[in-house]
Amino acid sequence: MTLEEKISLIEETIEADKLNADMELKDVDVWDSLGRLSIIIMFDQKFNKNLNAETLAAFKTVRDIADEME
Amino acid sequence: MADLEGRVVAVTGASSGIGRAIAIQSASEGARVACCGRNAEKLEAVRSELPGDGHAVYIFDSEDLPGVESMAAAIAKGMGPLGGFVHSAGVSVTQLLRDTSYDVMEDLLRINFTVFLAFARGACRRGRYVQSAMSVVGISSMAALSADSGMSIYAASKAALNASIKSLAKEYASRGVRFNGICPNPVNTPMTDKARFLMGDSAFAEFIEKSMPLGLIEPEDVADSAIFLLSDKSRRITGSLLEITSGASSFSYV
Repeated sequence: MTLEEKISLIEETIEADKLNADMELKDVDVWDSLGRLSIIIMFDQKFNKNLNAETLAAFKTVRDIADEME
Repeated sequence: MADLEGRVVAVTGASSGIGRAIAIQSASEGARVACCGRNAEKLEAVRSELPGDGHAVYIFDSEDLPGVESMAAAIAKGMGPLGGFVHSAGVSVTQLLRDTSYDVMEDLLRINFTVFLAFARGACRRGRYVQSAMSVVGISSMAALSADSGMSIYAASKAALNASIKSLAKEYASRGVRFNGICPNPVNTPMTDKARFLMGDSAFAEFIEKSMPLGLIEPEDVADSAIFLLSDKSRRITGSLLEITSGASSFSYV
């Protein structure tokens, strides 16, 4: 999966307008508790990965989420 | 005399959590327990720790509803007419509508709700239960009464359970069968392990302390209420939904 594809999947998951890798999540208006829940479910469904509280809290930029998508 | 002396009580979801606690307490109160579920090994482990004799394990597949109905009949034939049935089998998902799938919706409604109807249908036939000493208890949830984001399917499955209990209580009252439900806030079971994992241990503990002034609800707390509703001590109570809130008025993990 390319970085672009990952970012596109993140956009679709949290219903965000155009994102780029270096955007800070605190500036993304749909990165709220519901957005975080959707990301948790997306990782579980598409990557078979359980995100815990620490991993989630460590996400600062869009790239941080993409890096975890392996 | 113990509260359930001589009764045959069937419990779905008996292998863990609330169902396991209800199986153990029912046996302690003198019942012979049919431990029902899908995992034979886990059910056998619970059966072997029940006090008293005459308990049995019954396996069902929630996708086979006629099979669930037949199982209820088989329990009555094999162990004697039923004096109690508790539907404690259940699954929980916290998923937003945009993230969920039709499979998740159907599975959850079937396990939490339709299996209850199928079992009750099999058990509440003449000759399969003890008239005037048959009590059916559905383990529901406070989510059925007021649920937060991400709980639409789970809450709906439990609300369906509650609504059917109200109706069945009227349908079966003249035949001496009682139907009641128990609606707890989140209980300390494998089901809440996921929330604990997501939030982290300390955040979860802090959250519970703040939102539930009377403390995290344990499976045994729910089992105490179930035993009351199964026993003759509640013989005039039917169609009721007992709330176990632990002091929390609403609840949200999201």
